[in-house]
Amino acid sequence: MADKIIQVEARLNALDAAVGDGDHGITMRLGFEAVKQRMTQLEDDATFERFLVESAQAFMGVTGGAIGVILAKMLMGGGTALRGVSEFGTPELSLMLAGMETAVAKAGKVKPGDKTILDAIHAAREAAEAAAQSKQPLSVALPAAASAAETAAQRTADMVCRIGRASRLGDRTLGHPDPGAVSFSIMLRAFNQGSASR
Amino acid sequence: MKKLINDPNQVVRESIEGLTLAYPQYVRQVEGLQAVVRRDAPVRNKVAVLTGGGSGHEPMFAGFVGRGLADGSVAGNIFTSPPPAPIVGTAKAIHGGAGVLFLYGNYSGDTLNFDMAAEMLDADGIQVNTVRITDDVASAPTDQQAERRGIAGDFFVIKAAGARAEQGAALSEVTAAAEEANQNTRTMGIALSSCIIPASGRPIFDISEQDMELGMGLHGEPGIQRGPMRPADEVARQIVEAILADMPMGRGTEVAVMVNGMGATPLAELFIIFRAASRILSAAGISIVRSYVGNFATSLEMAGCSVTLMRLTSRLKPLLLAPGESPALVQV
Repeated sequence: MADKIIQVEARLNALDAAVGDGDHGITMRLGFEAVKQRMTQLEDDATFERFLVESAQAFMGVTGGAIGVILAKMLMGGGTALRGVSEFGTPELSLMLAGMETAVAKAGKVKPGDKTILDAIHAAREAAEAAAQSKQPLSVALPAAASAAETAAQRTADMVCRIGRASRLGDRTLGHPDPGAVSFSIMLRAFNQGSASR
Repeated sequence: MKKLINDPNQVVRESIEGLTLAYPQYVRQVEGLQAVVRRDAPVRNKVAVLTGGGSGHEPMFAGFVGRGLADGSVAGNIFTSPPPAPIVGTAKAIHGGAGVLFLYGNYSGDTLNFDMAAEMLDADGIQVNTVRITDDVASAPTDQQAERRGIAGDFFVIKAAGARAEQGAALSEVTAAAEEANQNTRTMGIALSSCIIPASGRPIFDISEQDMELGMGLHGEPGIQRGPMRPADEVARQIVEAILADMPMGRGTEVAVMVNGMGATPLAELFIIFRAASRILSAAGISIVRSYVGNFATSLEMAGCSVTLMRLTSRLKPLLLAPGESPALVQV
């Protein structure tokens, strides 16, 4: 997953340049390089919780910016939700995304519709919950969650920014999707692809 | 775009090293961190003033570390707030037993990271107060000052707090001085051309040769109003009138004035703007006690400038006039 983010850096930078200062891709790349590095140091039997919490610390250690804290808290929220979990199926996906959504809503003081990363997480969580309720396997639930995140991220292009630096642009933010939401959808899609190939 | 750098990803690290090598009489680097502290830190029994934020605004923030100004400054990546860990490390390096005051521009990234650091320091028994600087009149309406962003006015808040701390005042008093400075400081800027972040290599916004962008921020993000380029006297009038409309001042008011270059604008042009601004103030019966003209809070190589007025209350005036020394400013 970390490699995929590094590859899309240029796309994320271009997106961010339209509404911000063009460094979102750089930030994500730096952060995930640190995550990759930390992962190589983790023991093979590390729990899901530990994996996510260590990723959070690695990411926040090198990034900074609002996204550094938000993403770190997102990963920690997901990790805490997976405490004690040893198998990862659709219910666990649903739990993880719920933990992430709660953490980001609290850390960023945002709700769905504010044109942030939360819009993508929220959509993914809803899709995962629907899949859990109808007892779908992870091979169905995870791509569904990833697609929901992607659709939600693209839909943020029709929203006006209310949060953060770009909010000062008002209507000029229309037509550009939120970089954080796009990043999250890329992360989830990469997670899906990584899981599928195992 | 030609830049005088080496590896674009090492710009911040190398520039901090260069700063501390150039001005060892004022600052030293915190071991292992992108941060500088005053040479003699920690100063015992004095409130420690910690500033910082994204890099790319040099000399803001590290340029104002020294006696009578900030005790320390933490540098994030270009236009990015630093993460909590170096903020905590630097606060500990400057803490002299009298608490720490965080002073930084009001941006969500900085707020998130500095707040997290404050929680971590509190858990370690170090008392931290925070004042977020909100001088940019273009960024939010008059009744929403707390939403405004901090730009060149950062200097005046650091100056007031640093001077008050140097007097040996308590944390609550230094905080009050910073808040009073913040409440009495207003800035507005214009941009003529974009800057380029080293690691991305492209301008961050497009602007034609005919236009100027009013109300842009310190991070090169696009401003809120674009219009045709005007002569300097008209630009100065537009900016000063906006400030006076936001913070009305009667005849006889005393102010400090800063005309700040965004990085690529020649000093001569900043003086032309100052000339126009001072005439408008003089006609309004507002007297200038001290002026600052130069690059104080830049945005890499953006062309443009900002004008700041700090209204000098009876408490702020001596703090402004107090001596201070740092890489970017020595005031006797």
